[in-house]
Amino acid sequence: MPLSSGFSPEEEIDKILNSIQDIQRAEVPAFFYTRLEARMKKNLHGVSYGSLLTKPVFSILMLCLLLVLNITVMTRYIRSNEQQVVNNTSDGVQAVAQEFNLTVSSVYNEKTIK
Amino acid sequence: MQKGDPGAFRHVVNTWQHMVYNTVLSIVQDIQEAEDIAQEVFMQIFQSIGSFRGDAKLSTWIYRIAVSRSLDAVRKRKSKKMLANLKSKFGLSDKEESAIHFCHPGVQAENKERSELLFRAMKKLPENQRIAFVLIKLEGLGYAETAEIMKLTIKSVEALMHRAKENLRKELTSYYYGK
Repeated sequence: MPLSSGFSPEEEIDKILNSIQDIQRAEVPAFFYTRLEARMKKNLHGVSYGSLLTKPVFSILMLCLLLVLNITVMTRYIRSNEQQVVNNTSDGVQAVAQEFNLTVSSVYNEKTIK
Repeated sequence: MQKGDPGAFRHVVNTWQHMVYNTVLSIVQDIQEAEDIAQEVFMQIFQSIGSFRGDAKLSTWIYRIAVSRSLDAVRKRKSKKMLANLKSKFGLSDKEESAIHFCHPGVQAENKERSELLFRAMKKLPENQRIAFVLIKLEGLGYAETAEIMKLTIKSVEALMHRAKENLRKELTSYYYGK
């Protein structure tokens, strides 16, 4: 939004660039030292947990920890499931074999049958 | 102060508070944030005064802390703004940050409007150029002292200032012509 000052654009830009030529140094608001002292005393009383929780390092660390925990639980669950499946299938095969009398009978068994 | 004398710390604060505040304010361009950062600068000075060996002037050391703290705040604000923009794109937040016009309290009344435009353009400068411009134009430091604060040679600071002025002119031209 150009300024309506009656100057040519080049002149206006020069004026903008020179607008801080006589600038005064900004001064701190009143009672700056009192507020600073109070903040330092507050900080001396120890780290507040609230501020710790808002720190990105802490949240990233917690996220990583959660991720590792999740992966560990998942792998353990998958492994135990696999083992159960193996056990279940071997048990099932044995049960079917017994039901239909498919177990390998020895020579001695055949003789006694006869 | 290195011996932990609170009176000495008070003296340091009283001596350098306006210098620190003006530098921080000119970089972050936010009055409330500037006071917080200025306080943090003095807290850091209090904590790390033991590491000050006196190789450089005390003012140079304080300027360095003020500049690095201010740049940290600017970076933090940028990343927050990016996150807010991303959120608004995904419809997670309906509030969009509006551009706040900063007016330096030390600017003369007749230059207020123009200086607002200049400060706005300064925000777009690369960090090094912005720091050199603030220290020389707003703090009134010489090239040699600025070079010492920025740990650069005087020629590098001169080059930075030249590029800063060029970039500001470009930015203001594009603003002026509405490009």
